[in-house]
Amino acid sequence: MNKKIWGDTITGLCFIIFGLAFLAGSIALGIGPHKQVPGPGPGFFPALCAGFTIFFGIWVVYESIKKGSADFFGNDPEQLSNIKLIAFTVLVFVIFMGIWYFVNFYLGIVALCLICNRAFSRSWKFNVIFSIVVTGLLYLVFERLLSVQFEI
Amino acid sequence: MDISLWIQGFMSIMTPEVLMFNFAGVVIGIIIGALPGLSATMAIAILTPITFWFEPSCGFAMLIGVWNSAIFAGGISAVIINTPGTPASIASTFDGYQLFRKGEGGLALGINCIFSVFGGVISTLFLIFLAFPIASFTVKFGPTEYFMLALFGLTMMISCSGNNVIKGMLMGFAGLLLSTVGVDPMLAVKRFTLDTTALIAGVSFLPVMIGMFGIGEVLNQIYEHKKSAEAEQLKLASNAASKLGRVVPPFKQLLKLLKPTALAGAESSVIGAIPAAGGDIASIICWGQAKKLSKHPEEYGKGSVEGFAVSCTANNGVLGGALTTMLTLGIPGDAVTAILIGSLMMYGMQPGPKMFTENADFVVQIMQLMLLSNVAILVLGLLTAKASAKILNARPETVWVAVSVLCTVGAYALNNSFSDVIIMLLSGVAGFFFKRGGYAPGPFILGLLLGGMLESNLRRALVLSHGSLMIFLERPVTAVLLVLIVLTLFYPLIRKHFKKA
Repeated sequence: MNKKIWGDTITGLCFIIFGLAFLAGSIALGIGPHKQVPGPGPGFFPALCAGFTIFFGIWVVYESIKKGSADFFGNDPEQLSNIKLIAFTVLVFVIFMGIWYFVNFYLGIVALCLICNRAFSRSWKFNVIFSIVVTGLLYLVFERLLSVQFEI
Repeated sequence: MDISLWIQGFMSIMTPEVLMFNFAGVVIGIIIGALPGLSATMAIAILTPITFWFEPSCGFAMLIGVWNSAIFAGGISAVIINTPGTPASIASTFDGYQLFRKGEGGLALGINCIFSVFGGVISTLFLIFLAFPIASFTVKFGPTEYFMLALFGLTMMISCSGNNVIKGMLMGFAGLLLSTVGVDPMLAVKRFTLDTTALIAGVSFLPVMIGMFGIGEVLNQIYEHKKSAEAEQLKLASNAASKLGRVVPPFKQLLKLLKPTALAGAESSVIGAIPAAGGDIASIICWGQAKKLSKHPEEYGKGSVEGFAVSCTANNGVLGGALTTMLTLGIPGDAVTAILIGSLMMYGMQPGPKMFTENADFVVQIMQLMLLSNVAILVLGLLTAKASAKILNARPETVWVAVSVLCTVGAYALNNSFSDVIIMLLSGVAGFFFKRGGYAPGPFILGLLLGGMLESNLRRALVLSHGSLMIFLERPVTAVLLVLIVLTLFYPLIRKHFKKA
């Protein structure tokens, strides 16, 4: 596929699939008048919105193929190298959520702060102080003061 | 308007707790607003779940304080590093930074504070005098009017949020579609819940908002970050304090600026009442208008004190207008009022005409909190004008990690639900890609928020009319709104066609 059309084409296709999934579900729920209560059925409004979503999704794909896609990421080498950092940040977030879910929230927060600050080239001294301060503040404000329970 | 309501409201907000929360909100708002990339919307989205742990008066005192002060503080970075702290401050960069370069940075910061408060007060007076009469008019609205109003709000958001209307429409309908997850509003039938209890209540709008405007924005800033540009900004910011000079403008200068800023305040209050028209649109329109009416238009864009004062007035001047639309019609005037609607609903209040009968005392408190916040901004803003420039020394990396942690905790604290954190992260990643591709998140968020209102009123209207769509043309308010919707959507296309011709 020509690189210049991939951005909006893929996005449009995602929305079309999203719309089709909801349309299938709406038809199963029933679009027409309901038996017990007057008026359209529970599938009416989702089917209407799904229809428009699919329609505009197709329009976006068509315009992308015909006129070219929006430039999602540009050509700046420094910015393009930041994509790796973004992917890494999202991965760290997923790891943090895993640690939170299976082990402990505060351990997860410490890991998130340490790894992210390191990835953003902060010094180890700043990193450790920041992680301790943030974890401490979260514990004091949320768990002690507001009684938010972070245990899953 | 019952005077006893006002006295009661005043006594309710003049308590140490409410004053403390409002003050804390103003301080938080100044810090967040001054930092480029952090917006009032992000601050409100993150703080809202946290405020649910407090009384509604205290929670709203904080949110109103953050909202007003973040918009004002956006002017600080506009002056010092030529970068708006919030989108609403974009017009402040036209003249603010030029004033700083001329050695009048302190004066610019003082004008930013004074005229932001002036704009805020004018728009609050707009809210106070017009909200109750509008609410008494909207009591007569039925399901057709509410359906059209919600659709009008969504249409305005689509047309105001970027160059590509088709992408805006796609986002709007996708948001409406996502709002159908949960339980059918009329028949209580489960829809698209994938047999999980987490989705029975639907996709909560706040985690999506926090994700898109919080995590999504952080990821976008990571992408756009350039070390050379950061070094330049930090250098400017660190040298700023020594170059600021006098902060409080001379009284004669303030009097000269009264007329153009009063006009800007009135204009921006009206603009703010239009759904989706925010501070960025209002300040640019008012700046342009003031330039046309000015005796010295050639100075605009080159360090005009008048131009700068007008932009500062206009960006805070939208707030009262946006609140008027939100409280009287239940339609958000901008992204922040969209969150405030969610917040009111969590407190068991329904924005719209009912607020003015069932919760009139709280409505009055909100109006008084707006005035109180502006007083706090005036005092704090002038006292800390030079010190607030130091906020800009904060490294963006520190802000990214702190915001990410706050977003996570905010999304979780809403319902103590881990699923909300998952939704927030997914929304954040989606929000990043949407931003890169020019897909405005505003219509999506509004679709998600207004979907329930649109659907239930559409179906009620169709039940009343026995399935006939003519009901949307038979009522005058509905017909007028339909015409406005069509014009809003098709006007850009018609204009493009005539330009080509």
